[in-house]
Amino acid sequence: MPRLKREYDLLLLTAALLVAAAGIFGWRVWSIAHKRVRPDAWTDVQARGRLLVGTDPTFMPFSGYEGDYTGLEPEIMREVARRLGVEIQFFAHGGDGLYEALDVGQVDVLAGQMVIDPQRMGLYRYSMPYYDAGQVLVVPAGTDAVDLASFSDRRVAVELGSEGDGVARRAQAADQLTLVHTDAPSAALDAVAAGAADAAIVDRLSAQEVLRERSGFAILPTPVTSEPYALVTRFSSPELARRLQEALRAMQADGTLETLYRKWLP
Amino acid sequence: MAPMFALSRAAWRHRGRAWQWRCAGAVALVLVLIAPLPTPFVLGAPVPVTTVNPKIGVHTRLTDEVEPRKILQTLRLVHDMGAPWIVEFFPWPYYEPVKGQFDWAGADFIVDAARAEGLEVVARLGAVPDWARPKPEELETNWNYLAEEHFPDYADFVGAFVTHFKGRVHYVILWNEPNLTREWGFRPVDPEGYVHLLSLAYPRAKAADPEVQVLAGALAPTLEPEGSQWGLNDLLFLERLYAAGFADYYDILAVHSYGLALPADDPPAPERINYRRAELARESMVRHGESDKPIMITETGWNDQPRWIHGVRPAQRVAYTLAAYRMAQEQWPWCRMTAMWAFKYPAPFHNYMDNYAFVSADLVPRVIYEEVRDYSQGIAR
Repeated sequence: MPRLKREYDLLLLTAALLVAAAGIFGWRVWSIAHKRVRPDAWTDVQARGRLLVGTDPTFMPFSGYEGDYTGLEPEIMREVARRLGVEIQFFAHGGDGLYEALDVGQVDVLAGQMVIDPQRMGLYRYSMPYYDAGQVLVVPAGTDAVDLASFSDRRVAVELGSEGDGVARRAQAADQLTLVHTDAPSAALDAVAAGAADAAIVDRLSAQEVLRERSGFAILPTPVTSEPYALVTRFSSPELARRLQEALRAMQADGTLETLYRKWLP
Repeated sequence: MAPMFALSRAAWRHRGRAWQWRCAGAVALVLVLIAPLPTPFVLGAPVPVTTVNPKIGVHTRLTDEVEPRKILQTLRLVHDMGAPWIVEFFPWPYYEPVKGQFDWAGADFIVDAARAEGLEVVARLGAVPDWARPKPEELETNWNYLAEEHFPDYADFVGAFVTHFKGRVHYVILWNEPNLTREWGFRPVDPEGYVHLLSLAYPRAKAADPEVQVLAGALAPTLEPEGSQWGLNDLLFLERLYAAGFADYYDILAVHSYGLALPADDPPAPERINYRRAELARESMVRHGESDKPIMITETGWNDQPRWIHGVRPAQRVAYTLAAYRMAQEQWPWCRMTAMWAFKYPAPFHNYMDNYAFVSADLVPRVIYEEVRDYSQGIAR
């Protein structure tokens, strides 16, 4: 009897544990099923007939304000809204407030030099990138080089304290670079033109500006760093994200994006 | 192992319930003993900061740092740069996740580590825990949304913080940039409401530690007019604060005076945002009979992303920053400290905000860091 009693106790204990586990599992399933899921922002956009866009209008040529929102990003978004068949309204925020504006539903989408951030991908959806603002290598045209490693033991010009300077300093030890410091990106390219440096690391926009006005330079196809700008929506808005993506792809395919790049970028 | 297991089963079957409890206790004890211990960090005695300018400060962002070693290394870098002050944000939700239940472990570590590096901590107390905000299904809010019925809860938190850190934290800032709608929970700004909040929190801080110095204001420099959806001009906001009885609820005025694209010595004017806008705040204090109270500049600085409309070139940033530190020391006797935003972020923003940092997210010093360090050590350029 004592042994049977103990086995009976064990059976009861096991049953109690199973019931508890089943209860916890059921509660978890119930909470997932009943978790408040924010409606897709596309529903709101359709209902109000207007797309609410957050941007930082302090960063030309990408986004600015001169009586109205202007620059590459506002123009892209106006065209996107036109293709979606809705009106558009912009909201201005600083670089530290854009994601919050999206979080609280003040805006549906961000278009303000938003770099795709892998760490935020659980909370937001990023569109295809529409511009890469990272650092590039500018070399004399015809230079036989592929990337930064090609300049081992050679001189690289950078603006003192710039992002390019930081990248070059990190590469310095591995690639035995000799850094030539200047006080502006254009001066870094001057150094290359004068033969004082073999290449310059500058941001893509600065490089494009110089190449527009001066010949004899080339941007190496492999970027030194990548800063892809994209449109951002809340993760709970897959339909809006899909429609924005489709609009961007269509604008890429029919040359609209290229036209806007030529208008706003060097 | 097999004989031991057999012995255990035998014991389990043939001994009484007390024996089973003893076995369970022994197993639990073994598990506790073999569990990995937290790595101890030995914090030494405070090492004074060596500097030619004791007003140098930086705004750190350590409470979102995951790895303790990074916190220690960041504070060591601040110490080595010759900055005796840090301003640090201690978000209320981190320390009181449930009403009345406090967990100070993370804050304790930061404060103690800072003190070990000889740093004075100015603690900014803000943000709102979920339990003190509307339910998301009722209203989407950001974590700066504090409804008036929860003002006493914030005051409770301030009292608890000051009590806990008595003797270790001598300066606290109550709220941040209440003249911006975003910092006021995406609601219209409310100077009188902010004074009401201070009227509840200030006495709690002083009751907890009469020696603690309470900073208030911390207004964002902006030219937004009355009725703007973004905020209100800091000078206008300050006037309304004084009209609402602000003078009774602070010991030190916290000022934010970003230089934007202008040099440190750019003359102050009500319609200009620049570093010397702090002088206009000072004039307002004096006008209101508050000249005996000092100012601390708890946020300022320049951004070296030159494509940003308010950015400057890196070399300009260095020059302006050093001039600002010198000005605070040599020309502003009423200014006790000036803190540059921001020493280091826990993770990159991936936008121009990263160009405020003195040190990258992976702890690589930028040129601005090296230049300030050389200045503070008296190394001539």
